[in-house]
Amino acid sequence: MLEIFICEDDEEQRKRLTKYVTDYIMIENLDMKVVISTAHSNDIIEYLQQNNTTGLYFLDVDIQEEKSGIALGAEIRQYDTQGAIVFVTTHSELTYLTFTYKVEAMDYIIKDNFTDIQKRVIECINTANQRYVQNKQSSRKIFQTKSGDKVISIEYNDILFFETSPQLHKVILHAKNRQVEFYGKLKTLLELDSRFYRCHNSYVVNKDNISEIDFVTREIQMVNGQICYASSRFLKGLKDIVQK
Amino acid sequence: MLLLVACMIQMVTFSLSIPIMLKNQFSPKYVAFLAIVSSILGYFFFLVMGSAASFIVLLFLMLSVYYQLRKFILSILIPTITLIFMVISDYICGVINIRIIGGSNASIQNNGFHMLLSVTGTMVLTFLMSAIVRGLFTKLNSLDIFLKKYGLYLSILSIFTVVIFYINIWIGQRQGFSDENIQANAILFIFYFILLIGVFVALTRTVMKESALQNRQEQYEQLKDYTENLEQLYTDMQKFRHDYINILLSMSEFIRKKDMEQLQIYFEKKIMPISQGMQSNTYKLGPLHNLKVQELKGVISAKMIKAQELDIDTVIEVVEPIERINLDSVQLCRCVGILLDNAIEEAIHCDEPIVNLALIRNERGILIVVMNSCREETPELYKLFEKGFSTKGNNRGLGLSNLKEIVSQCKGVALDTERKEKTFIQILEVLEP
Repeated sequence: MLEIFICEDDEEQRKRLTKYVTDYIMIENLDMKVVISTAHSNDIIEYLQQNNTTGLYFLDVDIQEEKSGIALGAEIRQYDTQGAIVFVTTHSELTYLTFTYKVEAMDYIIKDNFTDIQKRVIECINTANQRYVQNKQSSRKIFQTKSGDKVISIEYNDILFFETSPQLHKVILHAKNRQVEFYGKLKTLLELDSRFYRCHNSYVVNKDNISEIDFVTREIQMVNGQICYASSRFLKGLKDIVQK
Repeated sequence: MLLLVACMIQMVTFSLSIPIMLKNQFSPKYVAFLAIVSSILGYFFFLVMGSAASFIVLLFLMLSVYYQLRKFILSILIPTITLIFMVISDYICGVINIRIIGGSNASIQNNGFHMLLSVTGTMVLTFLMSAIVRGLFTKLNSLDIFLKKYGLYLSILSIFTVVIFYINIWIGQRQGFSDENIQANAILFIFYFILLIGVFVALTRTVMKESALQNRQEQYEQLKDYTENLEQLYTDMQKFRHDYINILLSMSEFIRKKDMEQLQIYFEKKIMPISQGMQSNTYKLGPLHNLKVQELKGVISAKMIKAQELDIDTVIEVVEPIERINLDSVQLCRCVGILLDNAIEEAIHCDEPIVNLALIRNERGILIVVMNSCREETPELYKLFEKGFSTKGNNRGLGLSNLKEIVSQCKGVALDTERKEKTFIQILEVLEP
């Protein structure tokens, strides 16, 4: 069951928000429940400390407490890494990138008069529900690693190759639409999946995304046209792969 | 035979010192090619014209460095400096041979052991000097500016030095290289060399000071823009406060009369536009007050003001106060400058141009996130990182490849570039130590 938490310090708005959520759950008969609807962030944190759960959180950004809604979101993340966080905010305090990259927020709702809040609440519930169900029976494999506090997650299918950076222990991941650096070792990456192959001292290639190999120049062309390099020592193993 | 070996060692020294100085920008194959060709050239011309053969090899090395790097000044300067180092090392070895080992110049020429000892000594010394120069180059982070400004003088000076050295050597040769002659030359050369180093150090100091001054000037200009923006904001606020009282008065008047219709009209006509005005550009630099890193504040406000002038919808997010960022401030400003320049250049081509910037504090560091709208048909991501690539034609695309280079030299900094449909997101992560 997906548990829903609401934190909003304006009583009027909190009641309205809670009503939207409970009404929708009832009409659609969803496997969800509003567990906490509160004005105090501590109620949520205390609950999370005692229960291990995956939740959907509606948080007011500007709660009248020492910590902001964003800080609350970051704290929630420590207990519930999978949960969906939705920020309720006025237009002037809309900080989209901060929502996304500090707490991996799923969405935000602008509570200026002219947006239809109810509609947006329903959209958020639906997305969270979909995600929750998908996570349970996920088929696509996702590569996940951490750089500092930032979580990097990329589908294995999109990974082209890894390359070591001139900086010690830094690895550059080349994916189809992304290039990202993190601290790690090629050796540990190699053990993650059988489709990874060490083709060079400083390269690990995803065999599934190779388009062509030139054995003379020792260049591997990836499906998007990018070039990855192989060394003669590892070239023989590549030949076997291609022949298969 | 012995002569051949000695000659080869010298030429190998000559050609290997160049990649040492240039931080191995050549492939091993190319280095081997240089060593072999210069050995052959050196030996052959040594038999024909004696010491002057060095000039032939020098010319060859200059051409081959130019062929690889396409940098005129650098390809003259590096081989010439190497030659100077070799002559100096050779003479130092000569003096050591005479003074300490007790040989003479004649023994170097005739005794195989002494000869080999001398050339290997020369090799070691030359490599050592090249490595020192390499270290200096790395330390000098404004090498390009330096070479642009003083490269020509420095090249002329070093060529001049080499010529003087060889005139002396030639005179020495005419007199049959007596021991006194060698020692006198050595003293002369070393003094000359020290002088050259002195000039170099003095020049470097000036350049560094100048670039620091320039930096500060730039920061000052940017901060001035920022202050002007703040002043504008303050005046707007004053105006608003003035209006605000009047608005309340007229509203209370409508309410007193219970004239709801008029009140509604008044509200829609007068008050709604004000709230929209509050979202206008001048207010958008506001969040920067949370950023306490002054020099970065300057860069960001300058670039964002520029973006706003180009009619780009900009947002700056600095939710929590940021006291410091663990990266050298010059590098930091360069990185953020490149990120924002790229974002602006791409965004202006879109129907709905957007550039968003966020500075986010995490437990373990700072995230600098730049998001911009981009056209759908931009090339594959990896192409954007290639040197000289640009969506705006030739010679402009130093941005991303430069950024990657700076980042790869800094410890605890990671770059994340991602394209999602019509947005382009770049994240620079600076970890706390």
